[in-house]
Amino acid sequence: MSYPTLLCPHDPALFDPLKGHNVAVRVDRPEDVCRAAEEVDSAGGILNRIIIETDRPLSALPIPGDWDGIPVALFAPEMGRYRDLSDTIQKLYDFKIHVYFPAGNAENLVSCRILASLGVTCCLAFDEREPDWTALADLMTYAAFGPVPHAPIEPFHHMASHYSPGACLDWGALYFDDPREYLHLDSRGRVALSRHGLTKGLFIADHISSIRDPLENEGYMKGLNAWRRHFLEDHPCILCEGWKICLGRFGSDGRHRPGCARFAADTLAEIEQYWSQRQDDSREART
Amino acid sequence: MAESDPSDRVSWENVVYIADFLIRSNDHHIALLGGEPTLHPQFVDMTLYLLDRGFHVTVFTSGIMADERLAELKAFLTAFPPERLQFVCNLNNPDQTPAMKGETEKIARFLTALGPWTTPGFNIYRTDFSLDFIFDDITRFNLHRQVRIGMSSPIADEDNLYIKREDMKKVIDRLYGYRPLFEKLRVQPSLDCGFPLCDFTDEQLGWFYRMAGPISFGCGPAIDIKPNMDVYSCFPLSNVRKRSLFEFNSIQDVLAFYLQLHDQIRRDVPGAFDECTACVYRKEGRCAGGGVCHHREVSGL
Repeated sequence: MSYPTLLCPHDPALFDPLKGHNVAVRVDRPEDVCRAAEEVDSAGGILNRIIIETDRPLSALPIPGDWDGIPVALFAPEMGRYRDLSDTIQKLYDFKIHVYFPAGNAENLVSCRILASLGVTCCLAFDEREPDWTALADLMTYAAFGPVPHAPIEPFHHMASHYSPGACLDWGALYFDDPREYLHLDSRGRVALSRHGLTKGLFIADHISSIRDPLENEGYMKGLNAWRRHFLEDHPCILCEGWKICLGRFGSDGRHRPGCARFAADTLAEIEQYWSQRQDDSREART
Repeated sequence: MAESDPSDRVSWENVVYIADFLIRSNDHHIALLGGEPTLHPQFVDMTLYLLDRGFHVTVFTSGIMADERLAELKAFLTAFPPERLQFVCNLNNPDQTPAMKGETEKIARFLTALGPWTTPGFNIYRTDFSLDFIFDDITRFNLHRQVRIGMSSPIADEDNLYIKREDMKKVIDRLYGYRPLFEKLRVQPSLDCGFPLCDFTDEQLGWFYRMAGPISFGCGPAIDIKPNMDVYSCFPLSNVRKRSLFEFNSIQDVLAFYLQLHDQIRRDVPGAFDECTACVYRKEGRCAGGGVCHHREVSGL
């Protein structure tokens, strides 16, 4: 197992001990993107991604030319008016910026379809607001079976491309929420397994230097199998047909929602259909 | 694209679907019609989206719109060259078809702002039509030097004003009477469907050819898509054999379906008019024998 990427707040003092590590940085302002990338580079870190969270619509954000070559994940509450974004679309596409919108806002589902059709990778972030499950199912179908090539719409693209009938599918890494891929550092360098753990003060180490091999860290090992708590708690999710592709994530923080079980089951059915189709295609290609 | 009823406006999902559908069909032209397409609250955004997806967009408009909407068009759409974005503005003779109060001024404001992107259109629904005003408008507003000329057709199961068969020759002769103005101002007369070949003299045909190139005397499906994704062959056949776009895989499939409808209409009565049956030009495929919308049988399908 390779060492997880270390996700830290934007503080150059934190970067120095991260030499040789994969590093992701969370910045507050778009203006800080380039500086953060340079600082990681100067400290000898390998930049994985710069993450920006903004409360401004995507259309209101400046996307300067010097973002070119920097992997950016941009969390915005909404797309904004298309007319204000039209000039920026090419940069979003060229710079391979991944745009994240909350799934609980129905307009964002439409925005994902628009942006993906123009080649911009979009990710829906499931939060406390319940999505419109019917519209989400339509979008999932478009993401998996859209007749014309388009950019990935996550998490559906990941599901479709990584699904295997015999295994559970965890797509938390898309949202930097999977300890196999990401460890989270706070401003003092303490290590948590997730952003949630960071917020709640659930640290597994006081400093990254004390985790030479994550697999030897007890807290880490427990965190890897956090999904098992659903079974220990007899959570309704464990009876859901779509469990193996959801692992409780559609419910956000393990909450069970009335519409999500049906959606997860439908998604699983479509993903299985997509998987079968790909199997048929590759068999055909071999013959 | 947009009717006055807000529930009859095309949604973003459907716009993306239509764009995908056309691209998959290798068709990169799209025309936005209404009602009045500029009434759609997201008209500018959707048009920009289609342009960003590489379409050549033609917008059929009355030119009558709120000043705020016109300002949006000017601010956001004029960055695209007229080769990518074109407006067709149907104009009426102000004396023969008087506009409602304020409309003339609004159209003038539209043409002032978007003249270089605009081709004037004129729909003939009476035999004593007058075209002089359009030549004035072309010069005054720097419009495309072309006029799209259509003859009003009967709409199946509806009672609308249209040019009767016996009046078509009169219309063509009157149009030809504007020859000096077309030539002087180098304006191309571009004829829409529905004009029958047999009503033109050889001299008229030669002149039209020299001014605007070959005329198509065919009648085929134009394919209109409604906001609810219903499709039909063309506006005059809007009540005949409606289907959903979702039933088809490509625009070629839709065309094939409606070509069958046209064939069916023509099976018993080959041309729309009595003289079409024995017409050599129809038999040789140079004239479709008028639009199928002129067939009396259409309403029964």
